[in-house]
Amino acid sequence: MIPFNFEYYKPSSVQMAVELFQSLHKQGKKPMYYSGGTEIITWARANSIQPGSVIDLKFIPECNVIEMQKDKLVIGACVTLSVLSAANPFPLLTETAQGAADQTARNKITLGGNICGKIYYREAVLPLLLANSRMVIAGIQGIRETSIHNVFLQQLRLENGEFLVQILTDRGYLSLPFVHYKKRQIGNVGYPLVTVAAIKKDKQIHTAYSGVCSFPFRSLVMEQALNDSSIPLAARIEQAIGKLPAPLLDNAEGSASFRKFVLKQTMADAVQILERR
Amino acid sequence: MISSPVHIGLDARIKLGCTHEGRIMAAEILYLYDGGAYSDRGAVMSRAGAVDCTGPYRIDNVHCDSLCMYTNHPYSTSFRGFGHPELTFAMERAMDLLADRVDMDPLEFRFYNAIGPGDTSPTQTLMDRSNVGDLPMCIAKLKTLIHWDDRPLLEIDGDLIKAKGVCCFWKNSNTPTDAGAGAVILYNPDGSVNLLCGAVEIGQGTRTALTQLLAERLRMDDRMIHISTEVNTETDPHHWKTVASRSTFLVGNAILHAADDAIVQLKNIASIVLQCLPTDLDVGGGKVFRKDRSDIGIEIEKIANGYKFPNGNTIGGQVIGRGSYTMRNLTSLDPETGKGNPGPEWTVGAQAVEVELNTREYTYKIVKAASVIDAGKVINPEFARSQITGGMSMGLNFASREAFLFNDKGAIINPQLRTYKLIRYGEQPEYFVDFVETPHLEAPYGLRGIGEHGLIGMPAALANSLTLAAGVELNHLPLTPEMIWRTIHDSV
Repeated sequence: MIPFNFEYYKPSSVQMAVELFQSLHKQGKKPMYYSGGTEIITWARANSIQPGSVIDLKFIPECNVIEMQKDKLVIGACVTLSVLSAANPFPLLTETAQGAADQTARNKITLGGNICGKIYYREAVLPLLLANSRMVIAGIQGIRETSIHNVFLQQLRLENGEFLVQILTDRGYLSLPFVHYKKRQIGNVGYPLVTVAAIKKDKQIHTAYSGVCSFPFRSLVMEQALNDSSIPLAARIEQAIGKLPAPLLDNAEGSASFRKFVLKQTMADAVQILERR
Repeated sequence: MISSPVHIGLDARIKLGCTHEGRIMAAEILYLYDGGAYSDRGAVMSRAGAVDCTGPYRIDNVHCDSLCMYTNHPYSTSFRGFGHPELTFAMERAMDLLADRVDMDPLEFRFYNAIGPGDTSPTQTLMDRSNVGDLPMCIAKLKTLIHWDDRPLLEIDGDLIKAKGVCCFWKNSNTPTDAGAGAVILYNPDGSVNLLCGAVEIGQGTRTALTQLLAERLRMDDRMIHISTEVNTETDPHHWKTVASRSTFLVGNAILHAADDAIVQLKNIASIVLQCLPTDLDVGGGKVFRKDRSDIGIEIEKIANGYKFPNGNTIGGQVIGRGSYTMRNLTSLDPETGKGNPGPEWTVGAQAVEVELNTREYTYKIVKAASVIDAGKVINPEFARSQITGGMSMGLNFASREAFLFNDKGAIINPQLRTYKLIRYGEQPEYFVDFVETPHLEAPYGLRGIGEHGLIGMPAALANSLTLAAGVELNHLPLTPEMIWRTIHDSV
């Protein structure tokens, strides 16, 4: 049960949404954007957040598209993981999205929500980091488009009042050879010990990780190490792990040392599979 | 999840000694039950652990301390099995170790040491054919059920290893010595019956089984017996508690007693109408009839509310059967020796689990799980099977992935179902269930309690199968891949 009252708003356009946010903010009503609602409910029930008002983005048309526009795949931020997986415009994204939560939750969790949420796994961002996607962000200044690598650093860095509208991905990435692994503490549902998403482009292997550190990431120095075919794979992996951007996670899913063990195996599997393709 | 009571923990130290031929001679046991901050049921569960401390084996020399420990963990209460799944896990790991030490097949070793008539329990209760089930028969049936002799215990296929683990278990109840139940049977004018009793329906099908018992005794169609789905504490007779796998036993006995009372009343009225003695009569099929002339009788609807002669004179009145039953011959335990009779009977069983372990990742599939239990008398085969498989599922879940994780300040870091894992559809094994029937003479139609028992040996069987597959002693729960890896890693 959410133990406080809050106001609910349902804008039908991008412009209405950003103006609403400004106005509510000025009135001291502490607005928050949301789409699926799974995270906002989770945190509000635990009294960890107390928004005075919520702005439901689900009814903004641009936020719900899945379509090819010329050579770009356009996905609205409010598209649910279930709908996205069923449409399957980007197979690696489909597989990664299907690893999150369970079916019932994925019917509500949206692509934007998974990326912008407080829960630090944000697995759906991994294929986008690999595909160098572009993020379409709305704010009071207007709409801007920028490379994911300029705004996603551990999490999506948005200014106050901004929200993610769409994600654009070049057609060229959609059917590259790929691999996805999600290793959990046990069973088929749960947070990751290690999630690895990888693609092969121009004979180079690119990898992105979730569950390994306390944020999802892609690391160019790690990729450099993994692609150095002059040394054996085991050594490449050791080198790559030595270049992790932060210490390995140690949490309820598993210890750092077990994660390291699982990570090594998963990286080896990913590289071996992609080298053959 | 943490502000209400939780599942009890156990730290156990077991020392077993046997002859070179494999006959167990002595056991020295220490059970430290983690009762948490308040004892609630923790102390009673620790006592239950002492009572059945050895598992279903003949061990003439037993020393056991079973202590309920106060800790800074959430307080514990009864969980299905009441201390037995925990002690069985520890005891059965020890049994496997000892069997290996004398180079005996794990099932042969247990068969050879199975407790039976003439032996005594840890509390020095003498076993006879009625108060303990037939464990050797359960083991024999289990061997057939899982094709024990047809396939090797261990099968290797590249990175995957298939292994089978077994265990035996037993459980008696630890109710107060005066636990009991009542039952009332009210006849309706149409000859149907209202059954009033206090057993609570929680999905185990107890009120159906009790209806069946009454239908059997009265020899009537069970559709003519009305039983409410809920218990009304104002009008339903008392039942101690719907726990301990003793509801069908206690309430069933009360019902049979009430049925016999009703039968006497029916015969008394009918004997006058039929001009014979009550002892000349039998009841069944909606009638009271002459034993020697079954065509001479009277329909129950005509006498269920008394009998009205053609001239209007009426004899008798509504037939109301009353019955009650309390535990018999239970005694408290001697504070020095532990001697005493804790419960009516020991239900025994043999169980097995087959796993497929990935030796690279330490992940595993639970492929098969089997149970053979001496149920005394199976009252409802569908429900009995459901009770056992449901218990097996709970036991496998508990053993494979359930544990509260504490940080260094003693706070639980996984108090939600998103981090405290449960088995999902698609992960369950193929279940095999069979029964042996050795009657408990004190019980309705010989039945034994089976509500909890499917669960009890699953942690042990899972640990035994994974130990075989992994090649290291797995003596800690839960059996997650990390736990297996850690055990192998640490022993190197």
